[in-house]
Amino acid sequence: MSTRPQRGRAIQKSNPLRTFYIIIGVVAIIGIAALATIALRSGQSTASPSALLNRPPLNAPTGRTADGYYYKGQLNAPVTLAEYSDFECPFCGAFATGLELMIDRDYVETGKLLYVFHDFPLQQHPNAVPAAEAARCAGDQNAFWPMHDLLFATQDQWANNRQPQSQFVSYAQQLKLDSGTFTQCLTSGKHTAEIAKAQQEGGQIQIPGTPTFVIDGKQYNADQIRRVIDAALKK
Amino acid sequence: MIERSLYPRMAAAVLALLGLLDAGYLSLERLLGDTGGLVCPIGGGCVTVQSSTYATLLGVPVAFIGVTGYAALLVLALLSLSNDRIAGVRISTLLLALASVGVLFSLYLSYLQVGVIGALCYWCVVSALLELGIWGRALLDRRLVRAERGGSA
Repeated sequence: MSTRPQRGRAIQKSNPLRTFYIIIGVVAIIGIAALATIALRSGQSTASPSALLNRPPLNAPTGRTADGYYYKGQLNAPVTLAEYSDFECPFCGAFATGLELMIDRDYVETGKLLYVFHDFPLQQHPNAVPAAEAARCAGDQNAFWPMHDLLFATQDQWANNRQPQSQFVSYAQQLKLDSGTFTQCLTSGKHTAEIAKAQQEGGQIQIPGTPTFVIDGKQYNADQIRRVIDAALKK
Repeated sequence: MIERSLYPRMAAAVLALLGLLDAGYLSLERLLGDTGGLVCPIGGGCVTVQSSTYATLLGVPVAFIGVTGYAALLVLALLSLSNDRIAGVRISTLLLALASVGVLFSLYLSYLQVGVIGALCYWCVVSALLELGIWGRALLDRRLVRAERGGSA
């Protein structure tokens, strides 16, 4: 084992140690400042499940695209946005209970944006596929978007439940759906193949995670979409 | 005055500080829910790992254990720059012992992520590497102390 001569010698108490203390002090200050920024920024999050649940009904047309995805907004809107989303992903939940409300108000309800929901359940979320099925089963009864909102607003109540189906049935009842038809849809796996196909399509265009937003074939994260929609509207 | 290289102890202190910040970040994430992140990456990440049942040990969040451990390592490493012993015990021994516990704990956590949860958390991996780095420095320091004792005996 060899130590370099100048390091192996006695370290003068003043100089090298003082330099070291300055360096470690600076690292500590930068690190603490970074942590404080993160804490403050997180506190400003506008995500609010109650805001999502208590808003008036969406004032925009809804339906299914030709390739089987649910949309909201005017079909002839100048900009189309596709959200690749996983009902169990906390960031999708934060988006749905926060920024999505503004997007609905400012773009979807004003006819500027067609908003399409692509399922992209991630393998690490065991309840993402059952939740996607619940949303589509509600969609069979014209309630995809109300169920979408309810699932995201209550995400932390069902995400860790090993058998979330009974909770989903209670949500269907809350939305005044036919619970027999809904339960039958859920247990028969009526939409499982469609969801698997949606997941595959997301994989083909290399969606890196959820939520990812696609506008004009380009991928963006939640922070960017407002700016990108505004830019696309100016074209 | 200590008559040998303080480099391993300085390096251990810097790594312990970085580990403390890392564990502090994970604790914030634990306390506040999602923080800076925007996306659930394919294959999981810190949210999956930290929301798993393995993110607490005997009711204490692992991130908090990390903060405590790194804080202790940092204090020890800083003390070791001007002292060789506290309360009659060699600091180099204490540092190596604590770092060894940290490495073993990190090893266990890494196994949980890969083998049980099936998701890797970036900042947890960074923490494991920092622990390994601190352990390496502590071992080096211990050898320097031994060599010195052997030389002066």
